Amino acid sequence: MRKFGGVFIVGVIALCIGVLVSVQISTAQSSDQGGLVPFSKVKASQIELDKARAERETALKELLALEERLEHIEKEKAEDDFFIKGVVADLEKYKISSGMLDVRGPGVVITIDDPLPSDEYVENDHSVIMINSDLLLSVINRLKEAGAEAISINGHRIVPTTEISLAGDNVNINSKATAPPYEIRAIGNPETIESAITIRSGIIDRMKSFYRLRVNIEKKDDITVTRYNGVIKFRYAAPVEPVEPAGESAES
Amino acid sequence: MIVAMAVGLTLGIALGFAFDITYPTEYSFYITMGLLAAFDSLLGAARTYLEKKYNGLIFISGFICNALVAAMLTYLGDKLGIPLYYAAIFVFGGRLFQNIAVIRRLFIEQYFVKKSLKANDK
Repeated sequence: MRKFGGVFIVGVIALCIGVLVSVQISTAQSSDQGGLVPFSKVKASQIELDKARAERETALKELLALEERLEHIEKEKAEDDFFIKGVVADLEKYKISSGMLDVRGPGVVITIDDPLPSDEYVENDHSVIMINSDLLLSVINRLKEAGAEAISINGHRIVPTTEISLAGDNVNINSKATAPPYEIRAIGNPETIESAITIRSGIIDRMKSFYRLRVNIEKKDDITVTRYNGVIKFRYAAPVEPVEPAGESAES
Repeated sequence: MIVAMAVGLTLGIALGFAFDITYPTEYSFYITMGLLAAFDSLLGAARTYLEKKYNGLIFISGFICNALVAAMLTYLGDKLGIPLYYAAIFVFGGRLFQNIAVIRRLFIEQYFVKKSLKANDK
């Protein structure tokens, strides 16, 4: 009897271990945390990431505050001098065109999302709009053609250096990872823009019928397009020094 | 005894998969450490059984204590920022191999050496 009891206990405990093993296996499979990574390490990385994000946020705030101060000083000086006033007005224009200012005005908001899952398209497989990210480029091209003055995708302002490229599992815009749904904001004449992109067999038509993307276009009286937050540095390009025309120098 | 272990293990694994239970990933590490200790205890039981020194109380208390200490050590290490779980891995992992080695020797003694002795007798 004593011996039998021992066997029974061992069997029960082995059963417990077996349950634990299978539960562990199914848990390990359901989560992506590969291997024996201590939870503290994951947490530490999370904290580091949060810290870096907060740092970035404060740096950005500082930049904005300093720029505001600069603007304030410029305006103050401009009050004194008519010439500087003209220069500051010019500066404003260039800032808008280079995307360094938040701008607002009438325009359209285009939302592009992946097709609804169906027989032909399985959602977890891949994202149609991300794989065909050049469609976004085409849309932007059309918007520019229709006279859009400021464009942003998911809050990333389109500036001369903006790239839209598929990089691994995400689409990089201004070197920042983005994911669907894509919201394109464009400031310009809403009627013109809408008719330019919704033209039959145009870009929106193609996205809807060929790629089965869900596209929604809204005309709005007042939208805001946020500024470009990066730094534009010219390492190679330098302005060409104006050379005196040869004919003129020969004359004099 | 060993048959009971094998049956229990297979039944347990099947049960676990059948019910498809999962727990938060945070605890995954502790449970792994506890599992290692439990396996060591189980193999220890098999070994003592083969050595004919098996004691149910020692086995059960060892099973529970080892698993708990391993999990607690991991938790403590997590809190202190020191990888204390290495201690559990080394100790229980090492003992696991030792137990397996002893079990292997005992098996060989029981089934091969005796047989060859019998053969010599003839």
